[in-house]
Amino acid sequence: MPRQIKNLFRPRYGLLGISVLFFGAAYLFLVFAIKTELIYYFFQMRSKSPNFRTGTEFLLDCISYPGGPAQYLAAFLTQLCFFPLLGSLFIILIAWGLYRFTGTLLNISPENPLQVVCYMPAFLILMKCGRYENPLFTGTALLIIVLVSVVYQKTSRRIGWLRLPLFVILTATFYYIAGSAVLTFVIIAALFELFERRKPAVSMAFLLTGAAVCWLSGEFLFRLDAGDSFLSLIHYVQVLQIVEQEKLSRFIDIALLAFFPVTVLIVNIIRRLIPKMRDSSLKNLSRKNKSLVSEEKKAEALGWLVQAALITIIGVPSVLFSFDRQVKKTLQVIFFTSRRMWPEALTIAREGFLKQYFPFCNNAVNRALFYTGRLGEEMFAFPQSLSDYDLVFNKEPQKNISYIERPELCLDLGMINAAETIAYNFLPPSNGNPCMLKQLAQINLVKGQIETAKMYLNALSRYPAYTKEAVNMLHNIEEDPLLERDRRIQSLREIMVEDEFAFSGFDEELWLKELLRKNKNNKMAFEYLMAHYLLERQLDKFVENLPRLDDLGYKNIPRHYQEAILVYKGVMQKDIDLGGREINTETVNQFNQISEIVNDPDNSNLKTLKRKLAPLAPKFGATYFFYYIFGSNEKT
Amino acid sequence: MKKRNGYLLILGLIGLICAISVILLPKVSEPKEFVTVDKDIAIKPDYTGITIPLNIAPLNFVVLEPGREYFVKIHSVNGKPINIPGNRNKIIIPLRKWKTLLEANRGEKLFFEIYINNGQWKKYRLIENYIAEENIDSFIAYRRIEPVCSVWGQIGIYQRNLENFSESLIVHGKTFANDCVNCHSFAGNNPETMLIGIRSSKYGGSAICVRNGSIEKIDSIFGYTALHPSGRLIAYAFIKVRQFFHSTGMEIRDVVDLDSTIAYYNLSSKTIKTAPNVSEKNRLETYPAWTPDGKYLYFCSAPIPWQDRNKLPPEHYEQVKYVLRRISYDVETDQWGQPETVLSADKTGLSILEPRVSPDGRFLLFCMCNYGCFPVYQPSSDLYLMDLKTGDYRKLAINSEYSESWHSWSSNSRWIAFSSKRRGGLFTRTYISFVDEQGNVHKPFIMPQKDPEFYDSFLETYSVPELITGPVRVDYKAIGRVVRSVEGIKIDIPYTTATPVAGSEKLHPRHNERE
Repeated sequence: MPRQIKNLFRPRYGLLGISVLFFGAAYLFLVFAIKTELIYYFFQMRSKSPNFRTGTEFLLDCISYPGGPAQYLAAFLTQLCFFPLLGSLFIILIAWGLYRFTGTLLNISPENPLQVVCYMPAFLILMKCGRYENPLFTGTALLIIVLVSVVYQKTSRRIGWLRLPLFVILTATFYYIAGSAVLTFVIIAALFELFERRKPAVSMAFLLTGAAVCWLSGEFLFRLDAGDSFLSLIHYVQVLQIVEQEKLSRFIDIALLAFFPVTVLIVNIIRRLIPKMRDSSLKNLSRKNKSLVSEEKKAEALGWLVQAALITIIGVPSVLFSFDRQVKKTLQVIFFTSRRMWPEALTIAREGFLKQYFPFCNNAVNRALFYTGRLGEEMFAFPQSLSDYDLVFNKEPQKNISYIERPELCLDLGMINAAETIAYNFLPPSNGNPCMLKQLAQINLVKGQIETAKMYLNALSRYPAYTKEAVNMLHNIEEDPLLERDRRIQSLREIMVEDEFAFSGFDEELWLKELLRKNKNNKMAFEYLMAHYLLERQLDKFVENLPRLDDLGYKNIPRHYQEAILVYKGVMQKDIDLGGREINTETVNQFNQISEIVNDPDNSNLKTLKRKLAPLAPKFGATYFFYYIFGSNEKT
Repeated sequence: MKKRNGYLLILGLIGLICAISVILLPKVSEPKEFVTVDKDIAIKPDYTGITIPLNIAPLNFVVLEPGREYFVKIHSVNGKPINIPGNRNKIIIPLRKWKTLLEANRGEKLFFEIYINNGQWKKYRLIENYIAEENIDSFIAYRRIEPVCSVWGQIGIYQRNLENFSESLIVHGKTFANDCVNCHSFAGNNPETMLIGIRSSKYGGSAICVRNGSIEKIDSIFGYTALHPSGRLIAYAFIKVRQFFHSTGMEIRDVVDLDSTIAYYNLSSKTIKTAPNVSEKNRLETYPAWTPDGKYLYFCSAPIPWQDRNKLPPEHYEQVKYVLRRISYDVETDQWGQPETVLSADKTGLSILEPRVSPDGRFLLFCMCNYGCFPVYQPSSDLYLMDLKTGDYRKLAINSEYSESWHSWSSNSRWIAFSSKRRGGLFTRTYISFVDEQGNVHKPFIMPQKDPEFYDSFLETYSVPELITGPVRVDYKAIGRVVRSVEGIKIDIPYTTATPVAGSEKLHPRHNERE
């Protein structure tokens, strides 16, 4: 075997190879499996997210409180996630940085099996990505703090007592830069005093001084309350506390924050208990006795194997286990819907991941169904629920997260003022959510409030991902102030509600009827009104509106309408004029089969009926019949 | 030797940079050769033909005419002119030079001379403004809020130094669970005595009274408040306010007081009282305003046209029109007189709201709109001025097609600040107008900002601008602490209108929100 190839297979190359392989694979995992654009999308739709914007306003806001500079940097990097190759690269760089400096901080040589702990922050970051939580805020702040800890550790060995003022200066400076994440540095510095210098009193003094510096800076420089000085300064901690985070994501955040102090503590305890584990001992041995070189190589090989094994056995499964594919698909549906990529949204939705009614996603699916002409055909192929459906308006308005695309749905329908009301309800806590700004601009353009629309567009142009779009729209306004050449704006003006009525809550039926009164050719309003009646099981009203099929030029009756007609006929024993249209034979057969079971007196009990109908579910579960009987077609 | 060469190299580089800068930097001198264009030049904000206070911050502006180079000369009768050359159309006036120029020219005209180079210098028609003899109160307090419907977001009351661009917080919802701070009022224009309404889902509703540095929390929600000039009592409107929406039209939001009454709180005895003549059961009373001598209370009153005081929107809400009344009061004996109608809605055909008497007692400034109690949501709302000597009133020429409301007087009665939605109809901005001794109200100008394009993308509204003679010195954190404190002044509420008493109504973050 040539010498070079031999060298390549030396354990040290192997160790390097592990890290290259690991971070390379992680990068591909982010690009192809996670898809960072979904992380970005999920992040920006959260109401509290600090979305990066150019100009001085966001910058000045960020630099006005502790942790703000790190937040500014993280917010900048976050928007790069919109471009998967770039976003993934930065996430990997941060993960790699944490890996690299963990090794330096813990003073572990690459061949030491303990080296595997250095991968831990990277794993946690990947796990966070798998939950579609933005890892950049935590990652950026931690990377800064770990870096300063390494610098302090190296410097303080040489400067004697001067390390105390250095410690104070660094704590104060990085308290401002990275907020309360600096407490990680304080603890690491204190542990350094305890284990390296063996001065417990000084260690305690460091801890107290660090805490005092944070508190005094917070209280007197930034005018914060004591609690805020330690807890809720840095934005990622705020996000941790406020934004709806599921348990595992929260655990990952806490684990990331606690990782460095805890690891430094544990590694130092191990070193004290098992002195042989000190890296230096092995190195010294190797230097003294050349005959031990082969032993060193063996140790390196062993370290390599142990690391590879631990990464494969524990790390990779953890990341894969925490990867939430359900969230991914949900986000994909909404992501495609937001870009009006209806077939793509439906392709994902049809993969059957939706078992229960989920307003966040079903609303988008319904929209995609309408735009592909499938709402009346396929709506009940997806879970629907009488108790909490929200076809147009959300029954639980406090769940802001399901609001983000809703103004656009209202806008598409022609409910302009309803769209505006909902958009304003979302905007305040959003720090200027760009999606919502765009929708508000459109709403005001439709209403002819050009000056207000321009304000929103000016604000929108500061979000780099939206700058081009906003500038183009502003340019269009300059050229055509009333946007009479804009077909979408014009069509919305044609269908928008014009009759005044005052309202305090959102009445879906009222609005949809108003839309049809204004423009009987508003097909979307018609299909949503019919869907509303189907969901409400108000078949008399549904039947009343069937003649509109003629207005809108339907040649055939959509499948769910046929099913509802059969149900109505069966229940009310009335005939309906279908304007020469026919009910599909297959649908009639299905209805007959189900009616037989339903009309059986033995099945009058709902539980029995459910049991009896269960075998038919795979065949007829996607029909309106099931929904009509149970008020839900969710899969249990 | 090497070291010396290095130094020389650095020095050379610095020299080169300086030389390039000198070449590239626009020339400060006024263009010598130019063509005179007999045309008004548009600038944004519109600072043309206005009367400005001597102590106002620089009126930075943008020239709305394309050009490769700009030169602006600001001058008056006395003092050195300010020359501003540049490649950008954003004209930023140096604060110190501006102050010097204005101080040297009290009561004189102020000119903006604008030159634009597009291959050839062009000089446009001179912009002429006027520097008033009278100063404006140096500070203004306002609430900043996003144009929300029913979410408490980032709401704060801020104070702005009108003599420069500094803005600071008086109180912010972030100090108490991001809840709501609403109306703020001062005794006259005195920043030492202030009242702020608080609505908090976590800490309940309260009124925060700041007097000479001390902060008190009163466990009751006060609506619109008016501090008596003596500083001894607070008249306030206790309102059951609700919000609803419109399916069409520019302004989607509307507000109705389903019930309201006027009461007053004695700051010494810490008691609340009401008088029959200002709290009639079948009427809605609101917007109390004292005359400067404290002998009269102006307020607005309307009959209640609906039976159901819970239904929203109530029946015939669009028929509610408030009349303007006043009632005499003797603060020494705590005696109320008989109410008298100052201006009737029958006469005006409009709803009369937000009366504010000038500190010299001469004028009454108020709003009128088509219906209802909340002019800021009524595009029809305009400002009117009544001469209290004659009782004559007139619609002011400063109104726009959009809502004008929330006005306040400066302590010398020569300036008013008010909210207007004239730029697009949604976002209220603060405008300032000069009022001369005859009651002529001059062309308003928008409160200046350091960045003249600030308002183009600023997505918050400025509401309830109150002119004050100096800064509020109480720390916003201290106010926040008082709001969060458990102990407040417990009071018995003597009225039993349908309006809920403090604590009886659960406040939550999605409560009605208004500008």
